[in-house]
Amino acid sequence: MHREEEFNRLCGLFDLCGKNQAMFIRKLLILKCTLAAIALAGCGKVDPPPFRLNMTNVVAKQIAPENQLAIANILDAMFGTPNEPFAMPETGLNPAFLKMAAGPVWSDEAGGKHGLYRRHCAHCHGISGDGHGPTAALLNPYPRDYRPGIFKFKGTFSAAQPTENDLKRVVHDGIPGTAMPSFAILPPDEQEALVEYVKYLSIRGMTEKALEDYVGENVNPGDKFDPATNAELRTLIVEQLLKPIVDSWQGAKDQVMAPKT
Amino acid sequence: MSNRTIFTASLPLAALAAMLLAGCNQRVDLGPVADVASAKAIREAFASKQAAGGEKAAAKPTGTGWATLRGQFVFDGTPPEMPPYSVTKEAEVCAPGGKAPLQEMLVVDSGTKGIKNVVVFLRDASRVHESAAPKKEPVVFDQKECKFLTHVAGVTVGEIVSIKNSDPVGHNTNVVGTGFNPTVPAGGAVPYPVQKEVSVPNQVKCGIHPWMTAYMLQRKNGYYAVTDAQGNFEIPNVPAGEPLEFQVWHESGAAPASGLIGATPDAKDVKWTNRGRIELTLQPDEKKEIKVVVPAKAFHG
Repeated sequence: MHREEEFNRLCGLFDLCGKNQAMFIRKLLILKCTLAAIALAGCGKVDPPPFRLNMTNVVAKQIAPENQLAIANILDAMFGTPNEPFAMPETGLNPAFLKMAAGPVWSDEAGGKHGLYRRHCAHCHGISGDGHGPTAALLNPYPRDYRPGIFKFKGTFSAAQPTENDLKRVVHDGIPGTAMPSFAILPPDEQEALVEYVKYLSIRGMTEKALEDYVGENVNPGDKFDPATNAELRTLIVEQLLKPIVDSWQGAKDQVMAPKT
Repeated sequence: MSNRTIFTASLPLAALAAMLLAGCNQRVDLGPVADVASAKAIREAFASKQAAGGEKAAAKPTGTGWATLRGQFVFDGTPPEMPPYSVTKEAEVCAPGGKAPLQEMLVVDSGTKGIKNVVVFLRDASRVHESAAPKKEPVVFDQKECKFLTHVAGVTVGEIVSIKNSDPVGHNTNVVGTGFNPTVPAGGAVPYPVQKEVSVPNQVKCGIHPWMTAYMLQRKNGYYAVTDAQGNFEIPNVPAGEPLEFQVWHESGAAPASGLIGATPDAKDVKWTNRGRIELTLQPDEKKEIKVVVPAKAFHG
């Protein structure tokens, strides 16, 4: 009998068998249950990675959970998700470059590379650009957190944002002495897409902080904070929170330090 | 083999599974993830803002003339004693005579019980008097014996602060949150141009002497004051005839964002909020004097 042969083979293989078949089945059941438990305990199905809030600031500003969610929703509305980035026209960001850089890593039949940020950057700089990617803990100096909008290795005055060329140079040359490699091997448009995406994450992070600061200062727990139904709030977010940030990036080229002649 | 043996044998496996289960679910609070439907509604509202732009909030009433707010902050209770800083290096400079300087988390005058270093500032100014414009001459912010000589400073956007070092050792002055973080050589000074308004004073720290700490409030106009050793402050020439909102701040304030909540029993027209803000309206040329009584529980620590 085929089943019995199989049964005996298994008995020998795993040394699991008792005196009778019932005992063996019971043992097999236990093994199966245990394996099932381990399998179920695995980290679950893989969702597309979301943007995460800057919890350091959220805690510092004592923002209530419902307002945290409101902030996450506003940021999603203004900037989209890591898979589907979105740029309001007010940001001046190039949506085509963002699309190139964002999303999961894959290659098309023509050899086109997709998900550039996650391919080259995210493992150190993090999905949200918080400098907290999986490999960040191994690096010294640690990777840049883009969210405060503060960058080293730039040609502008200390409080000013870097220019586009400053960021391009870092992507192209890397930073010797750190884990930041050169990406000179990438085609120029891919490098430009990455620079645009870094700007996007930075503007997003600065907007997040501005929102959190505003909520922390003006919105009490339980207060309604929903720009979908409040036009005044929408104007405030765009004009008073987002616009100064975008201006600081677009005005960076006027803040370049020139040596005195 | 008995049932018991099987049970015992499978225990380690079950334990392993349990550990795996616990391991995977153990995570810090990463905060909420956006809700797709709500985000979509907000994005559509943003896109249609041209249509909704017509509606405007009722304009705030504006008055004419100018007034002065002054007063005193008084501690109600037994003031705490300040411990000395733990000076861990360069003691010959930083703790002369072996005596480290005292901390300044909460400094109360022994005679008047006035509270030093309380910040009061006007939140939104509809108009600004010429006396509240930024100062032309540099504002000096000095450090000596590894201590910031001004523990709480108020500066105006557009001013140039001269960050001085009167010590024979180098300092590294970091105005936290601004990106300004230069080394100030012994006996030297570095200019700090004030560029951005803040709603909570920035901490000022030294990268070399970690116990050194101070605070700097940066405002667009001069409508701010820091209480002196007796707890007195004065903000002259604020807009009169319109509702004003002042923020009261102290580094040890227990309200959100270190706001300080006091009481003004003598001034019934002064309204306090739970963020340590006072609301009041002043008449033209009025010189309003308030006495703020602050209970010990308004401070944390």
